[in-house]
Amino acid sequence: MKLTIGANGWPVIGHELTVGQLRRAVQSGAVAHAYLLSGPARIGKEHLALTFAQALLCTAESSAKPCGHCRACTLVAQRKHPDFLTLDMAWQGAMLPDKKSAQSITVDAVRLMNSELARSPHEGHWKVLLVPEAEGLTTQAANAFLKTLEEPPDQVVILMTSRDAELVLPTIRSRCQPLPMRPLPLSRVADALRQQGQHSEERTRLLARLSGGRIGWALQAQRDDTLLTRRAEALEAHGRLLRANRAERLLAAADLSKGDHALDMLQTWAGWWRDLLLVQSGAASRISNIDQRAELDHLSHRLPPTASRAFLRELQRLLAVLETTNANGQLVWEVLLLKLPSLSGEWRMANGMTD
Amino acid sequence: MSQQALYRKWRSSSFDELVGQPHVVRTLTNALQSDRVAHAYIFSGPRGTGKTSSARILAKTINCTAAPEARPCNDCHLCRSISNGTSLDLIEIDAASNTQVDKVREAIVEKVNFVPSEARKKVYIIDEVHMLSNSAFNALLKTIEEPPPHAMFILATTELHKVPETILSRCQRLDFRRIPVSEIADHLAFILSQEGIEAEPELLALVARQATGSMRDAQSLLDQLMAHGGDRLTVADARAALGLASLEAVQQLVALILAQDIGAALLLVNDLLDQGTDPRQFLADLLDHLRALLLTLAGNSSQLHDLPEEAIRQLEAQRGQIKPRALIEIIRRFTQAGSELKLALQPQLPLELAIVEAVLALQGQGDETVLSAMPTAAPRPDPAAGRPLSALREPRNDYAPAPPASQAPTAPDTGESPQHPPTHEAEPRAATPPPAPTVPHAAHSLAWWQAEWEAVLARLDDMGETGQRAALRLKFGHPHEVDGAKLVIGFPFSIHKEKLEAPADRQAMLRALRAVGGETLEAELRLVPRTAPASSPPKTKFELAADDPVVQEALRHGGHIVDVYQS
Repeated sequence: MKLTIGANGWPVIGHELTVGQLRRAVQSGAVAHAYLLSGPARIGKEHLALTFAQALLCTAESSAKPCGHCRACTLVAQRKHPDFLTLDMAWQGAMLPDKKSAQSITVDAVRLMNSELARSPHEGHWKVLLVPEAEGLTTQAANAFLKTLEEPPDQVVILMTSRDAELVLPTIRSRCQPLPMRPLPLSRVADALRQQGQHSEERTRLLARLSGGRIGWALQAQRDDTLLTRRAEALEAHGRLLRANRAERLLAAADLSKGDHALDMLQTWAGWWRDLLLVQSGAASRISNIDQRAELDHLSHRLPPTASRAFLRELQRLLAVLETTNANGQLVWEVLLLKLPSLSGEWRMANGMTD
Repeated sequence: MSQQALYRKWRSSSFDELVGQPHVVRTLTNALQSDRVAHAYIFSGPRGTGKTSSARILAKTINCTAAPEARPCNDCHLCRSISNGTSLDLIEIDAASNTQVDKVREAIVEKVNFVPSEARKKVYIIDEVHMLSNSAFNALLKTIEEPPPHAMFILATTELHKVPETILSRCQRLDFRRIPVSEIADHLAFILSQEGIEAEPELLALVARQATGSMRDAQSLLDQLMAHGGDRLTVADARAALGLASLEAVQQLVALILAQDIGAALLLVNDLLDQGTDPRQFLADLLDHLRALLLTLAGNSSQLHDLPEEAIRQLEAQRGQIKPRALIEIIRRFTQAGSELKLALQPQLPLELAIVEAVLALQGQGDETVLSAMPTAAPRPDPAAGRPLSALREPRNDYAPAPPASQAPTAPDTGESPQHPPTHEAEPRAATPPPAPTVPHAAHSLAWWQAEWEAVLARLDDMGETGQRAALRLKFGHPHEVDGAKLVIGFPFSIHKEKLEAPADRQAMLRALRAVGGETLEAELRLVPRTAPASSPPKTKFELAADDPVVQEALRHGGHIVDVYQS
């Protein structure tokens, strides 16, 4: 991918406030010891963290750091710089071979990292630690990290990322400088996609809407078609199941539960139903599946608003069940598909369509 | 090296500087002055309230070489060595990374007997102590109970409930409290003046409110804002950095919801989020506004003095547009949306759903009031629904024990209290206050009693010990039949009936019943076995559905019921 230099001087699209803050910190040397980058998935947290690490470790003479092509910048981009550490499963597996099969970061890994950080940097002036998905740390691991996080050795900068700052232990959160990252305006995403060029305007607009402002998602969908293909499959299955009878749905549930991308599919469905709700509520200009407009308009009269509301609630509930418990996947899909409003005329009452 | 965060740079270094914990400061300074310092303390409280700071100050004060009244001087070599963490006699242990019993034995139990190298006392600070393992705690017990005279312990934790009782009972316990907003704001103002940075006074209040009582949170936020802006911090910048929507946007959304304009409300929310508003912050602001509206509705707007006049005027204008019950429902929806944000498929979805449902709650409020005005509508409404909001307006002092019998028919405050005069059985919840009782013997219907049953129980429950005992038994009964001025109460088991027939219980029960249902009321207790319920057996869902006029119409046209689903 061609990296365009953003208006703010860093190869980061959007997030001007956050980038400006980090840039000033690098220039003035007033770098905080710990940051918490938070925001939805694929919004660019790790990319920004890597860029910040590059800026800290860059060896270029000029003040325009990161230069992007010196040895340090290249190594950080490849995550191989000796002063750039990542507390993730790969690191844990490499450093503690007996913990290779662990499900999460263990206390031992955190302790090892604590002592690793106590050593001075190998090359540059900084030692940067990236802790991705900090909300996934167990309570024990997070607690073992508290003292280091509060007063780390000089020259250490800790960058934590999380999809939601509220999910991180409060004692961790309050020790970091917060860097909340929010979805970009959709127009900004569309502009960025246009700069990458080579695609139709229609597709650009659709991707921008679908991304919900998550620039990382938009760029990935632009690069390879898997995301869009997967979405088309999800919509196709959805349309088919809307018109299917009970027996067909139960058969489909068995297949769907074995699929690899159940969550993506639920996301797509939820987006579609949200759009239907928007159309029914008179806010059709804000829908994200703009290529489905005709179908949505058509169905907005055939399905009552109560049905879309109830099914959206059901989607949310089942998603929570899937994410937070180890529920039987097939059972969840069966419940979901039986609650899916029907266009087949059968058991219309089942889905509150009489009201 | 990295710039020190504000919370490290401005860590309190003497008890005078410690903000918001006067009770802790007083306890510790008194102990120091009278030389009665305990051998072990445990500091507990939420994050960022000064536990670690206090522990270090205490360590300094004990060891400082200056004159007693000047301690800690923060200038002698002992104070300085403690401040920069080089003292040999201050042993700060991170319990979270040293949880095992071996570490505790090695670091504490085996070394505690060595005298301090230069200070008066060896001070062990064990931070995040709740993370120690059980055996580690037990290994500490003897040492903490009777440490050598030259040693003392300070334990600090955010989760006191995880510390064993055996440890707690050996320590003097000091609870740190959340710091009030005003004190956080004052301290932030002090820090900014020292740093040579200007800030709008509004901004400090804003940051302090965001910090929810934690000074470290407040200082981290301030750090963030200082990194954003130059020498002058403005509210506008802070709002942008924190993703706060303007107050006007919040008010506008509430106005749109009250106007039941779903489309416009959804557009507004989508635009706000598109411009970078943080959904969680927005929800918090929205709930603040709705709470203010609820207080206004309950006639308690005196608590809203910190709102601008303009906002209060708007609240006054909005109060006529919504009924309390609908507002409570709306607040519930948005609160639920807040907890759904964590797992949301799309950040705006919970908000959008809540808006749609809020408008539905508003549209339903007309019907709801009609429903609740008809006592037969709900045989057993939930207690909250049965209690009119006028109850929120002021404490119900008429629930005082043993109300005199003559009190019952006084004019109710809005005509909706349970102590309704016995005249208006048909319209007990009419909006207008009912006229004074004219026909004293008109009895309430059975449905009325069923609706007021919770009120009877609540009243009885308020009548002292006897009342509570009677209420417990009466709960097993239910209004069974109305026979002129006599209410028959049915009991499925004889034991509750017999107990209630004891004179004291019966007296209390009658008092409560009369206070609710009128002076001349009599009551009879009757055994009504479960096998012979008062009403006909519950209908099947098929029969229920067949009662519906729409379904009947369909049946007349040749349809038949295949299955019935509750939507």
